[in-house]
Amino acid sequence: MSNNTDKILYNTDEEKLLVQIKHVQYEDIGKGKLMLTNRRLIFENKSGLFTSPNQAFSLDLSSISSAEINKSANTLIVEWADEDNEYTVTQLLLPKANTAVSLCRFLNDNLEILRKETELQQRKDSYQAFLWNTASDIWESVATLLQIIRDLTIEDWDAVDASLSRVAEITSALSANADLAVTDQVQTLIETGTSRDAVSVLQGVIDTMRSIGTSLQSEFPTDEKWGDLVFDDSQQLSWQDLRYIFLFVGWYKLLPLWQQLGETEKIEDTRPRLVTLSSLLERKITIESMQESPSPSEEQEVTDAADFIDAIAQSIESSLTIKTGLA
Amino acid sequence: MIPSYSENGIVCCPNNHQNPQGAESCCDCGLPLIDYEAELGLLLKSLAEEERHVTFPKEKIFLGIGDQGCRLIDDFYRSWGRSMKGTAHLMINSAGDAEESLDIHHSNKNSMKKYMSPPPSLHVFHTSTGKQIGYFGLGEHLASNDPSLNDYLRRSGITSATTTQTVFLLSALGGGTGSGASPHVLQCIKSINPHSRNLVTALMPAADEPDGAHFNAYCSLSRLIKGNHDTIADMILLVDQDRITKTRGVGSKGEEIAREAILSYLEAMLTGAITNGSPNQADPGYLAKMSRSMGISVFVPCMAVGRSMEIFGSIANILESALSCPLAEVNKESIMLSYLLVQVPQRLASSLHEETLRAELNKWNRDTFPHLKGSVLQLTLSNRTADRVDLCLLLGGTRLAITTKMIKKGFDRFKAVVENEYWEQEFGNTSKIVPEVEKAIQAYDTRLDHIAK
Repeated sequence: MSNNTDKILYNTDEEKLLVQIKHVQYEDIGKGKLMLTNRRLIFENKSGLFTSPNQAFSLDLSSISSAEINKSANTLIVEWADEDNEYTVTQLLLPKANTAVSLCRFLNDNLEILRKETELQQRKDSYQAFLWNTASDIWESVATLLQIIRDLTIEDWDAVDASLSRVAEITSALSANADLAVTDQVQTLIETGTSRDAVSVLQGVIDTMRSIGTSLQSEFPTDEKWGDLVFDDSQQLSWQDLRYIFLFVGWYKLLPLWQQLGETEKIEDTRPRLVTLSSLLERKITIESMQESPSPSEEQEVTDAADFIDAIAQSIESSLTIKTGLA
Repeated sequence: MIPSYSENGIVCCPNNHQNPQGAESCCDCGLPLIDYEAELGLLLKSLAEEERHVTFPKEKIFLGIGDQGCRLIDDFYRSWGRSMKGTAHLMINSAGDAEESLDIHHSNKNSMKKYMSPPPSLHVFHTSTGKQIGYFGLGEHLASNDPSLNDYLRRSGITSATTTQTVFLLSALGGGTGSGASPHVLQCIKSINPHSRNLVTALMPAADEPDGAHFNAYCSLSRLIKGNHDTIADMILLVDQDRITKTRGVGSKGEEIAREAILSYLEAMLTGAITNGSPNQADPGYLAKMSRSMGISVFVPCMAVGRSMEIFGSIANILESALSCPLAEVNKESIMLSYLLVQVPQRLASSLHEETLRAELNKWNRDTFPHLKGSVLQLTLSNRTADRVDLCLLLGGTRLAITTKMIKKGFDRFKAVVENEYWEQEFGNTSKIVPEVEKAIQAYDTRLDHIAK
């Protein structure tokens, strides 16, 4: 930068001053100090020698749409959007042309970095929303499929019909959004339902579960817009976690059926499996859920495996509700 | 590309750290290692194991159609059906007549906690006017236009998955719903499960009922013995209302069994429900199969319930007692098939064993029915403490001209009404039905004549 540049600081995580230029004329407001931080562009001036500085404007970098130089007048022209999203142009006359050029380039570099960061964050948020929606659909699909089995054990065909319609609805969303190939299987299941042959319906449920399970095993999101995010192993939800959610809800929703049938041995055999899956899922789901929910952590209070599993299941369900905006 | 979860002896943890196969937790991050493919297989296997909990083979379906049919099913269910495994109890009625059936249905639901078999389910034919269905044509029209009938039957357990399903239909043929819907419902059942057998207990209207009731019964009977392609009913047990009201029996506790309770008892004997788990040969499916094979569909039951061996002295005397009060008109000379269902108290089993009974039955048959072509004996042991024997004789071969003589007269008198052009609009039948019915009944009798030769 030029001699008129008082300070140049480098980017850090917090807001830091990057550039400060004196004797800058801000339209008809007067002369003052122009500061560029990693977050904002600020103009300050003084009305008298002993008065405190007045902040004439402070623009978030994210609101700036363009910054360019009118070379003949050494003027920095900044276009930005106000709170009502209406574009405004601000002109700042800098002391020297090379200062104006350097500042403009520096400002544009920072705007570009900010844009990329914002875009990446938006993609990450979008991918997370996709994963949470998919997780929610998987949870509800599996829960409804297992409810069908419970209804079959008491020959409640009205309930079976209602569940089949629900399964069709959710798996249609699952196929459309997550590209999981289960629609044909579900169509066959629904057709089987009209036969009122419980064994065939059960087989249809199993085939649908297999389709979802193997799709999760062998396929990753195919949409190009996710790019490398698919392989991101951050602390946030990942595609691999959907497999654990699928297994968890599958085993977990079998417990009430076995309770109803008095199959205590099966329940006991399944609990260690659920505890293992819980320990994997609580890293991603319970913790996030606890952060967002003001309720006290149940997990810290439970010692019994069954309570722990129930707590994890509740946390998953509430996380799914919150994350998918169903709350 | 993410490494596969388990590949070349390497297992990846949720954080994609590679671990040797067989390790329980990740050596880098300590997270548990899960073999997804194996876990998925186990989960699906567990689901498949639930097949035994969703399979409820219904070998015996008890079905009541119309107001009286529903009451008979309710009575049978309360007396015998609720303790029978592998059964379903169905009621079908029209909206105008269904109120009483609904009461029956709900009262069963309230006390179902003791039941082993689910209480009867009710299907209602909804009418646009909500009026009572008084005539055969309306009942037939209502049943054949009910879009949910097939689904109701399937839900209730009618399925081609079983080859040993037997349907017991109880219906009073004097009313519109019972007479009109019964043949159609049986046809639906046959189309769902072609292997099924059926036995229809058809209650004929009393002599003093209006001619319209007799017309209904005659039309319905003609449909039951002749469907579109084949005989709909395998076996029809014809019961006159006037005769059933006069029939009496003695129950296991010495109580009187009369009127409709006799019909419950008849169904119970047919199905072996009274034996309470004791050995029994009751096989109604076999009787239905044999009747169809022989081409003889209509049978007249003759009941002797709770006859004391000490008083009657022999099975032949009890057979005579039963034959003396048939539940419909019968002609001994014409009998070609005789099925005997006998229930002997366990304590008399040694003196009344099968060979003795069979010899006695054969002699009695020979002396009583000169044109007999076939005979079946089904013996069951009852848990009666007294020396009382139950006996049900089912006699087939008498021409319908004889067994339905009384309702034929009512039918003939009513024919003129049906020929009225307004009848079709109001009551669903054209005058064409009259020759159709007469032809079907005549064809059956001609067939019997042919078999008798």
